[in-house]
Amino acid sequence: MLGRGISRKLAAALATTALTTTLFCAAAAQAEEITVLLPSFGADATTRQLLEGFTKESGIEVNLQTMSWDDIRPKIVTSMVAGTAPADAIEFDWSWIGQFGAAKWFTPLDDKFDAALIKDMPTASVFTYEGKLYGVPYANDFRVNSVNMALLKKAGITEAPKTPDDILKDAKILKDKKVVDYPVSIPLAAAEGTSTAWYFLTRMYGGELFDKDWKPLFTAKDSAGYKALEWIAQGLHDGLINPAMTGLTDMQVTASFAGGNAAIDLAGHPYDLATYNDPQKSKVVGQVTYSLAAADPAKPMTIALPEAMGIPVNSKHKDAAVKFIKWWSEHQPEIYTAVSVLPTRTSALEGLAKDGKLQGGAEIAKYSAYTQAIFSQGTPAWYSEFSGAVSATINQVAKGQITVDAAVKQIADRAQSAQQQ
Amino acid sequence: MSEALSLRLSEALTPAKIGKGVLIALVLLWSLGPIYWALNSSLMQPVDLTAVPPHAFPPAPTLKTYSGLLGLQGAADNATGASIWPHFRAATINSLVTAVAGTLGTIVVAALGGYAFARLRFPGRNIVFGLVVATLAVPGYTVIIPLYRLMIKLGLVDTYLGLTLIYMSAFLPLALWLMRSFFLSLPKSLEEAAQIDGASRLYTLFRIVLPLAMPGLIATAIVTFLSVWQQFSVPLVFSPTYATKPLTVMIPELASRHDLNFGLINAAGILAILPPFVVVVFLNRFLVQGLTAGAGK
Repeated sequence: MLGRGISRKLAAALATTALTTTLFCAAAAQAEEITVLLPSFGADATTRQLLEGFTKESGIEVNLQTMSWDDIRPKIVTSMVAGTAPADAIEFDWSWIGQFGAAKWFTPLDDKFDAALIKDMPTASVFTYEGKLYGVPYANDFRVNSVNMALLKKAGITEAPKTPDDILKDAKILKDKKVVDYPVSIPLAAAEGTSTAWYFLTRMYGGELFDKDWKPLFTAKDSAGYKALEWIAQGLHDGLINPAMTGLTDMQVTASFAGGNAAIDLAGHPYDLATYNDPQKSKVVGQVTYSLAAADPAKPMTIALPEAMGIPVNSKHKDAAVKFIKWWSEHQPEIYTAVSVLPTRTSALEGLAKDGKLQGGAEIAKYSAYTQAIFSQGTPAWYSEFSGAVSATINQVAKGQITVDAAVKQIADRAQSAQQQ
Repeated sequence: MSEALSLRLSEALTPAKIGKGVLIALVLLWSLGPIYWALNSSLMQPVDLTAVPPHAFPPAPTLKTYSGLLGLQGAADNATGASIWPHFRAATINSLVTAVAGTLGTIVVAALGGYAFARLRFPGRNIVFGLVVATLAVPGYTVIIPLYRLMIKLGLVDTYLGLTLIYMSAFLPLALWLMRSFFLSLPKSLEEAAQIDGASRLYTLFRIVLPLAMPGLIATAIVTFLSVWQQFSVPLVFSPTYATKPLTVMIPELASRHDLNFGLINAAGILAILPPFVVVVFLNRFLVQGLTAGAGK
C-alpha cells in the first residue's frame, strides 16, 4: 500500500513537472526575442511602435538597439572579433561588404529570400561577395544635385545645370550677379561624405576609379577621376565654393544649404527635400529640386550607397532574423511614411511616388534607376583605408596644401599600399 | 583725471599685468567659447542655426529643445514628434548611477590600497605599486576585445555591475597613486601616537587617517567621477540598450543619418555638463588641496 501510494505521488509529481516544463517551454517559445542593431533614424520611439506590428504578426519580440551612424561599425567589429553577434539582424553598409565578406562574419542569404523580392531591389548586388548575398538592402541612398531654382531664376537661369561644366558656368553667373556669395556647396571635410562626392563627380565625368585588376584609373589628366578633382580645385580657386566647406561633412552641408547659403548642392541625398521643405528647419521651402548632371547628358549616372541588414554567423536566432528582414522589406512604404527610411524596392518607390507620398518622388524614382555600384568589381576589403586617404587628400587640395597632380598620385599610392597590406 | 589716479593706473597696468590679463582672457575664451556656442545654438530656432555669418546671440531665443528633452512637451523626436524624454531620462540616470558607483568603488579600494602602499611594509611593495601605476600607460582599446569576451562569459554586458567593475579597474591606478601621495604627505606622528595608545592599524586608519585624508579622498572622487562621466568607448561597446546606455552614447544618436538637429544635440550637451559642473564648483577647494598634497614629496 505504502509503495503504491509513493508510486502515485511520484507519478503525480513527475506529471506536474512535465506539464510545468512543457508550459514553460511553450511560453519560452512564444516569447522568442531578437535583437536588431540599426543606426538611429532620429525617430526611435516611432520605430519601436512600428516594430510592434512585426511582433503582432510573428509573435517575435524585437529588442531594437540604435547607435549613431559613426559609432555602429566599431561596435560591430569589436563584437565580431570577440566571436559574439552584436545582434541578430544588424546594419550592413555598402562600404563594409569587402571587409566583412572576407572575414566571413555574416550568413549567406541567397536561399532565404524570394528571388522576386531580391530582383525588386536593384542595389542588392552591392552586398554580394564572391557570388553570395550577405545583406538585404533596407535603406536606399544615392547621390543627386540639389538645385535652388529660385536663386537660379534670380540670375536669369531657367533650368538646372546638365553637365559639370554647366554647374561651374551657372555658379559664375550667380556669383557675378551677386545672387549668392558661394553658389556651390560640396562637403570637403576629411570625412566619408567628401570621398563620396568625388566618386559621384567621377561618375558625372563617366569614369571608373579602378580597372578590373584594381589599377587606379584616376591618375591620367584626361581621366574622369582627375577631372573631378580638378573641378573641385577650380571651383575653390574661382571663389564658387566656400573655403569653409573644408570643415563641413555632407550632413552639415545639407543644413547649410537649407539656410539658403548656396544655389547648388553637389552630391546631396535623395531625402534632403524633407529638410528643405520643412519651414522649421529651412529658409528654402519649395525652392529646391533634384537634378543629375553628366559630362554626356545623354548618359546620366549616379552612385549607389545603400544600407542593408545582415545576419551574423553566430546569431542564435537566424530564422527569426530572416523573418524580421522579410517583414521590413514588405513594409517599406509604411516605414518610409513613418520614419523616412527611403525604400530599396523599386515597386515601393514607384508606389510612393504615384501616391504623392515621396518628396521629389518623380526624380527619385527616375534617378534610382541610374544608380550603379561605386566599384563594379565589388567593394574591396581595403575600402576604409582607401576612403580615408581620398577624403584626407581632397581636404588637402581644398586647403591649397597640395596640387591636383600630387593628390591623385597620393591617392593612387595609398590605394596600392592598402591592397598590398 | 587727477595726477594721483593716473599714477595709480600706470602702476597697476604694467606690461606684465596686461600680458597676464590677455593670457587669462585667451584661456577663458578657449575654454568657455565652445560652451557658450553650444548654449547659444541650443537656444536658437533651427532655421537660424545655418545663418551666414552665424548669429552670436539667438535672434529669437527658444527653450523648445530643452522642453522637448525634458518631456515638458512631446515634440523633440526629429522626424515624427514623438517624445525623446524617456531615453534622455534613462541615459541621465544611467550616467549618474555608473559614475557614482564607479567612483564609490574606486575610492574605497584606493583608500585602503593607497594606505597599504604608503604605510605597510611588505616584500615587493614598490614593484607592485609600480606595476599597478604602469597600467595607466595601457590604452583602453587594446584590452576592449578580451574584456568584451570576458563580460559576455560572465553575463555582465549591459549591467551596472559590469560597467562599474570596468571603471574601477580603469581608474583605480590613478586613484591609488593620488591616495598614496596624500597618505605620504600626512605626518606619521599622529598614527604612532595612536598606536602607542593601543589603537589597532584599522582603527587608526578609519578614525584618524581617513578623516585627515578627506581632501585627498574628495579630490580622487572628483577626478574619478569626471573620468567615468565622460566615458564613451566603454559604454559604446558594453551598453547596447537603455538599461545602461549613458548620455555620452545617447547624445550622438540625436544626429540621425537624415537629420542633424544641432539645437537638440547642443541642448542635450549643455544639460549633460551640469552634473560634473555642480560637482566641480562645490568641491573645487578639495580638488586643489587634494591634488597638491604630497606634491613636494
